[in-house]
Amino acid sequence: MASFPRPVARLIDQLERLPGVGPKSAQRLALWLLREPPERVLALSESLSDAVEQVHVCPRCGYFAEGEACALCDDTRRDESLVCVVADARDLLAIESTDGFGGRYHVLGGVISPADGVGPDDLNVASLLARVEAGDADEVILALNPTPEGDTTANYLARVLRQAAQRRGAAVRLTRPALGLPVGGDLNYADRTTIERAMEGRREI
Amino acid sequence: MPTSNQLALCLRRREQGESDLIVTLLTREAGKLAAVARGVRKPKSRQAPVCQLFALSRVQLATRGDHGGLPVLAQAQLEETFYDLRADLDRSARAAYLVELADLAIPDHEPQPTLFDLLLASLAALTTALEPRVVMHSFELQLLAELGLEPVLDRCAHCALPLGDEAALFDAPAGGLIHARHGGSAQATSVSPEAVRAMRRLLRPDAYELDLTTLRMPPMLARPVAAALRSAVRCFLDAEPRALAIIEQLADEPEP
Repeated sequence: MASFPRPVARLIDQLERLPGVGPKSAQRLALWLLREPPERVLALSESLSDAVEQVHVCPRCGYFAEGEACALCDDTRRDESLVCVVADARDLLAIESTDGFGGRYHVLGGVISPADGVGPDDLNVASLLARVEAGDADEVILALNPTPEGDTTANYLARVLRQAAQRRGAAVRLTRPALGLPVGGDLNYADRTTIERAMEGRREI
Repeated sequence: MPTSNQLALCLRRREQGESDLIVTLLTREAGKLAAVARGVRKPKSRQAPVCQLFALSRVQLATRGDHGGLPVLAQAQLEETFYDLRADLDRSARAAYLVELADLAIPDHEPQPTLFDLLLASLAALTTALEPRVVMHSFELQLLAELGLEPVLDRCAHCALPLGDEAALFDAPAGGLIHARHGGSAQATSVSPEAVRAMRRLLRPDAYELDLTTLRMPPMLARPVAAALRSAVRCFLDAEPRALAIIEQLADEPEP
C-alpha cells in the first residue's frame, strides 16, 4: 500500500500537533504547503525559527520579549504602581488595543483549571507574588475572564496577594474589571448572574 | 430537524474552529451526550454562560446530519451556575473532580437519573459544606454503588468472614476491606476502624438523607479514607482524574 514519503509524513505528524488540527486537516495543510512556491514555504519556516530563537518569555511579567525584558517592562512612561494580571498574551493585546491602560502587566500563562490538571504551581504566580512583595505594585487588577476558571483563579490570587502584601507590611489594592452587560447587548436576553453583577456594579450617570 | 428539551449540566467543553464549542452535557433523560454550541465564544453570545463548567440549563438540542452527527445547541435557559464554588479553590477543585468522575464513569447515551440528581445535590452541598471533602468522599462511594461497583465494607473481601476487631486493609483489587493478615496487593492501604465506620456511614442506604454540609471528618480520618477511595476509583473505574492531583497539591499548601 502506498504511503507518503517520510519527510511528508513527518510534516503531517508535526502539523497534527497544532491545536485544533486533526489528521485530515494536517494532511490538507501539508499538501497545500508542498504545492506552494518553495520561497514562500521557506519564508514560513524562517519566521518559525526566528520566533522560536529570538523571542523568549520576559522574566518579569511573562509577556514575550526580544531583549532581556519585554518592550512593556522597558517602557519608562508606564505606571509602575499599577499591575494588570491577564491569563495570556491575547488578553494583554486586547487591553492594549484600547489605549486606555498605562500600567504594567503580568501574564499568568493560563488560569487554574483542575479539570485540565492545571493548578497554581503551573502558572506564573511566584513572580507576581515577588513583584508585590518587592513593593512594585500599589494596585493589582485581576483582569481574568468571568468564567468558573477565571473567577476561581482571581479569588485564589486575591488571597495569596493579600498574604504577600502583609509580608511586605503594606496593603495592596486588589480590583477586577467591571462585570455587566456588553455594549450593544440586550437586557432581555442576559442571564440572571450577568444582570445581578450589572446591578451590583451600577454607576451614576 | 427533531429537537429535544431537557435539563443539562455542562461537564466539559472543547474549542472547535473560530468560535464554536463542543460541550459534553449530562442530561437527566438522555444521559451523557456531546453537542455543538455554535458561536458561543463570541462576546455577545447569549449561550456562552450555558457552556461553562458546572452550568445547569434547560437546553433544546436539534439533531442534524452534519458535525459528525452531533446535536446542535439550539436554545438554552441558564438555571444554576453554582457561582459560590468560585470563591474557594478547594471547593472548586473538588467540584471539578466530581464532574470529571461523572464524565469518566457514565457511558454516553445511557440515562442515569439517580447519578444526575446525586451530582447536582453534591455540587450544591459543596458550595456550603463545612468540610468539602466529606461531600467528595460521599459522592465517590455513592457513584461506585450506583454503578454496581460498591466496595465491600461489611466483611473481609478475601475470606468473607466478619472483620471483627482485627487490623484491616483497603485493597481495591480484592474488592474492598480485607483482614491485614491476608497481606493484600501493592495497592492496599491500612485503614483504622474509625475510617471504616466513616466510609460505611457515607455508603448506608439512607446516606442520601444525611446533611453532608454539616458533617465533619478530621484529617486523621480523612487521609486513609481519601487514599482508599482514590485506589478504588483507580481500580474500579480504571481512571486517574486530573483534578485529584490539584486537590492533593492544594492539601500540601500551608493554611492561610
